Amino acid sequence: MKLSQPLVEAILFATPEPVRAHDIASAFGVSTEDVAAVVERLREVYAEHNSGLEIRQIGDAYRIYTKPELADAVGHFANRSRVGRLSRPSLETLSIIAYRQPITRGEISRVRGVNVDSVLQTLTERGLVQEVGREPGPGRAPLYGTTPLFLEKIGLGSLSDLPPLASFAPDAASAADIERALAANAMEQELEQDTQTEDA
Amino acid sequence: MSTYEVSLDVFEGPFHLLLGLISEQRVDVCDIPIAKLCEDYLARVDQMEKMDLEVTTEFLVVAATLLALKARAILPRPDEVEIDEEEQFERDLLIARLLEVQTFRSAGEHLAALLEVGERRFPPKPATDDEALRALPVLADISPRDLARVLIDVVRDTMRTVDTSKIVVDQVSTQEAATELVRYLERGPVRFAHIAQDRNLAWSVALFLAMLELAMRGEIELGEGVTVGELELRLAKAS
Repeated sequence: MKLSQPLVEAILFATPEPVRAHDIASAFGVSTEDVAAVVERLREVYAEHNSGLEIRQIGDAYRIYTKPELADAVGHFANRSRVGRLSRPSLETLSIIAYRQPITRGEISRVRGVNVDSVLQTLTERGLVQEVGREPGPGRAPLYGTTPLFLEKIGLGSLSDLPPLASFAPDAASAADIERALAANAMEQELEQDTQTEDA
Repeated sequence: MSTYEVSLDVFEGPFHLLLGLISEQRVDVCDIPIAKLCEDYLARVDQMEKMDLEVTTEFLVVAATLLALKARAILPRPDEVEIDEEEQFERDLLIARLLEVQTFRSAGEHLAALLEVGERRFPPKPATDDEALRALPVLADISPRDLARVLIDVVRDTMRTVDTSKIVVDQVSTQEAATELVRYLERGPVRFAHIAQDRNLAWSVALFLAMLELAMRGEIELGEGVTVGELELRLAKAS
């Protein structure tokens, strides 16, 4: 069967999870660029017809959604359970992980100045973050990163679509200060570590 | 989100903004009356009906940083030039860390807003006649009593199983058992069942063997006790 707009639309409609562009491409013997082009045309059609649906990219996958502005009415019918709001510590931790991943528990604690064990557990249980590997070297501390579900929930195609961290600094001047001071500190710590390694 | 507002001669507004100003050197840390800052804060905490730990603890972190900065700025240093640089560096680092937290906090608020919108998008819901759902066992017809029965069956089976993962060889020699037997019999005739009571298998066997051996050597006599079928032991009369 040839890849077409109706086909992609039907696949996205019938699949209860994001569909990877690669999967569609290999099923129909086309390139992922071809899939992207079809999705793009489908989007145009939706826009032209003022559709209540939209197609969003989540990482390397696509998923069809109802438009957020229709949520009040649609939610009444869709009867979905809402995920509770995250607490401020959870949001802070989530943003540190989102911007600094992969990151160890210790590094997160260092930034927040408190123990983050329970917050990390909450975020993991909600499927927003996960262990993505182990730090090389002694200790092999677990490294945390965000999940595809996180991207889906915030509605972004990829992590690079996040606004630059500097845009959240209290103001531009202090953003530069933060960078400078932390970079200097990081360098010093590295030097320290190097000396320790040599000593050992 | 509630923030703690301060009102000082040099600055009036949200407490955490103070750090930004100090960082940009628009406010001198020496001009900040930390004692007054803390008094106001404690008065405010007293008034709070509900303790908001986020707000209250944030104050402590920032206030402690200010105190450290000010203490360092006021204290005279012997070697001015050299320490100055290090001091500047540490000051920058302290403030940078606090600003870093605030940056991530703002980023977190942004994520919260994105999550909020994300919650308002509904993806296709899996159909309720999904095969996967049909494959799930139906629990509706099963009563708690049935479940309890299954649990009992499972537990009973595990109890019947002898754990052979670890075998400890209980080393009891017949010699040892014989000594034990004689010790009992010195106090008078005794039933074998009484001696073997509460012994493990190894001990029971050893005691039984010891009994046979002692009987064979004629050191003890075996007989039926008061009740028929009970084995009673007594020391052989000295010949």
